[in-house]
Amino acid sequence: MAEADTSSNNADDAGERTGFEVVIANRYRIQTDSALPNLNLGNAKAYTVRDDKSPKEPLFARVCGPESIPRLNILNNLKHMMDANLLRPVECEDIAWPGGEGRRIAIIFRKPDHEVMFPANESRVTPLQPDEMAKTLLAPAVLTLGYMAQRGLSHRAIRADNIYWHGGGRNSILLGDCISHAPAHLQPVLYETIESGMTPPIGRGPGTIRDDFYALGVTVLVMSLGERPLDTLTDEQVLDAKLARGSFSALMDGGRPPFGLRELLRGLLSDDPYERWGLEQLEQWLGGGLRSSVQEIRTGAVERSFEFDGKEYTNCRALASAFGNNWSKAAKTILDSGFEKWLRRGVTDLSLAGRLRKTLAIGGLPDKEKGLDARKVAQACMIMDKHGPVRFQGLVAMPTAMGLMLADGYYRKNSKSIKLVAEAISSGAVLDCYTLQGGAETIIYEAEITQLKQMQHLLKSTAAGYGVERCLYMLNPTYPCQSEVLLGKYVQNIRDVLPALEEIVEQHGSMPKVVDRHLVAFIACRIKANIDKPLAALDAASDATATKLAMLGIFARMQSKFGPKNLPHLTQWLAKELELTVDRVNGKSMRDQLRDRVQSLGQSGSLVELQNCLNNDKIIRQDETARKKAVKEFNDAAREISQLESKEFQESAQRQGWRIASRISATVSIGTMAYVVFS
Amino acid sequence: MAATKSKKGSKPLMFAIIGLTIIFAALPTAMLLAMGLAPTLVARIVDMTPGRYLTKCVAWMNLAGLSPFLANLWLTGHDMATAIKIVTDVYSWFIVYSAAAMGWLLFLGLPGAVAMFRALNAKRRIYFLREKQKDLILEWGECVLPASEKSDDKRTGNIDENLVGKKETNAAPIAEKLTTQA
Repeated sequence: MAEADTSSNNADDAGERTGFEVVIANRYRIQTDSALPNLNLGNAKAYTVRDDKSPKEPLFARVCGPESIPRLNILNNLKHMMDANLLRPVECEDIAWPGGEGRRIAIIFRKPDHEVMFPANESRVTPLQPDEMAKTLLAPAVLTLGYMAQRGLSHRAIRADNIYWHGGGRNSILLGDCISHAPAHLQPVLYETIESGMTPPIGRGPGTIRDDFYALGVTVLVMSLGERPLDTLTDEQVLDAKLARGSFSALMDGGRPPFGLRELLRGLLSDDPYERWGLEQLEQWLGGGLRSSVQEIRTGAVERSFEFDGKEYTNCRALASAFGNNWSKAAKTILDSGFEKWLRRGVTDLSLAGRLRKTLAIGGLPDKEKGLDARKVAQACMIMDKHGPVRFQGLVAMPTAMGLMLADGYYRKNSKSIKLVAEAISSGAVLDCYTLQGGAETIIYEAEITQLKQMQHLLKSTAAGYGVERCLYMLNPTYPCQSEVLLGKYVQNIRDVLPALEEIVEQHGSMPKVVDRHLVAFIACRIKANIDKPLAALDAASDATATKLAMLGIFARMQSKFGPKNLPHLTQWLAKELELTVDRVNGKSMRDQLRDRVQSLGQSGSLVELQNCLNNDKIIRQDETARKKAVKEFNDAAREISQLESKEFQESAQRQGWRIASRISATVSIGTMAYVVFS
Repeated sequence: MAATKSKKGSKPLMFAIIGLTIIFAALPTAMLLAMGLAPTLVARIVDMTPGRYLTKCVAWMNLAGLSPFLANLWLTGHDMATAIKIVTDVYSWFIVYSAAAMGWLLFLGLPGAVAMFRALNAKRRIYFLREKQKDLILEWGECVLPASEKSDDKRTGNIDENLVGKKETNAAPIAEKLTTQA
């Protein structure tokens, strides 16, 4: 974690900070007073960076905005793709942004040699000729996408204003930054496939390399025209045009495709992801061997229109999108006989109505008066638009973007959005996206399906360490812990949790609270060990002390697995907080002994030993056995005292006296008689 | 029940038969016994103790006092003259009745002595037991007390801050009370 170097000039608290240097990895100095506005990207601001080891190296840093969800999960892969034509990240770290604005992610890049191909603020550039296009744009882009495909990555930020000219004579390109924002977050609808364009930017998800080929197709078109097609239309109108006419026709907008690029554009702009040109076809095309053209298919196009919510629809995908946006009305419309008739007579896919009917009938025939439930509506939308996003109670997002939606919901404190995502997962609507598509998708997305099933179980529990917070960290493996306990510290790695808590206790003398749902969920998700037992203890804890004891168990587990060995402040504070738990032991001697031990362990810095001392079942069992023995001894003593003080005891003394007198008399008598006889 | 009644009824009859046999077979002995065992007979009549300990004490000592005279009678020919000589001798009456009186005194005096001795022992034992109880309370707190004596019935052995306080504060007065009692 990098800190601001305040040894420079004083800070100006308002607006742009001046005079501060933030040091990353002990060598890269981000100069906050040297902004590079031309390299800003979205809300990520660019600053000059000086490398202490290579001062001449032209570097710059993009400092992500607080609301950004950078793609840190692909960072390491990109750092090591040396041969790719890509704006490659050099270093990345969270930094304390000057002025106390919390921690931000700063990504350092090497400065590109030239500006972007099509600056965002310009409306026209010089068009590229097909030969030039193939050599300077397509060949390096295909090479880079090939490298990414090998690693199972997608770029999701390919657009003309995020591709830099590269090389001395501008004979090559560099694909721009794809990690400082969520996947496709800054992509205009123009560059996105129909299904991706239907979702809000945060709900697009990482998608696949096929989405990158589509974006590359649009970029080729833009650069070949020297202007952006459909530039005067809004995003919604662009999407409507693509839905109505198909992407290729819509983007051509009645014009003719540039000479020699017709097949390429038809292939790349295909709306069927499985028909769309990929690496193989592009390599063949670049080699001059592929001239076959993809036929444009307008999926779900119908001959007759269907009216829904006051608008006529002639396209199943568009209607599915409308259903998703007004699901409560769609819940009744889908069951309407008119809709079924329209599906049977008007739609080219004859099996669609049958499949829809079959799916809706699962779990019993729906009540027409009551309408369908949200999951059934989502299923119907999925059948009508099989590549489309999840449409659940107004939530529209790609199934792989659920994590991003959750993270965004938490950042914006939008409980409605969080609840919707949780319901979409727990009801099975997200899972349906994979399962309803058939065998191939089920196999390709096996890992996602397994994870979703696991999350459905986790969402059933409301205990700390489970629930929607756990899903947040499962779906976003590099997302930092959002716990309030960490007081704004950026903790992305589980190894940093205990050191962060140690620092907090050292600075403030205590933790704000011991148990926090985010903290527990973060640990449970990232620890990669079974901690069900401590989580169950935490759930069963009936008071504050028992809760702290359960958390100590979790912390001890983390210390034994990840270290550090010495956490003096945290251990001492916990030992003090948990001193009362010693009173679980009934025996005073053992209790005093334990108290002394806890006090000495507080100094040791070992949470593991403190845990062994306080959460020791053996001691509790021994104490219980000794207590039972003590109770028995006390009762026996009480019984004996009562016997000794009773009237019966006095009477028995008299009877015993008589008995003794009788025996003495008998002995004397027998003795006398014996004496008389034998003398 | 009927068998017990007949057994009870047959006992005096048995004594009568034995007595008559002795009278007819050994009249001098019978005369000596009748004169000498009079205290035993009186003790039997007044004895209300369970187990007839008064009778037993007096009878045994009475026999002890009588035994030298019975031996003298049987060794000197067992005749009426010797029996009358013994019966008419004041010294023999004194010995026989003194022995019986000794038996009576034993019966009256010994239980008191025994009770006193046992009371002392019990007191010492009670003190020891109360000290033990005090130690147990100081070590274990209220949890060793019977439910009726606990100050808070909610106590279950679990951690409860209020209870922990009570555990510590109540143990001392209870232990003090026990010391006072001891």
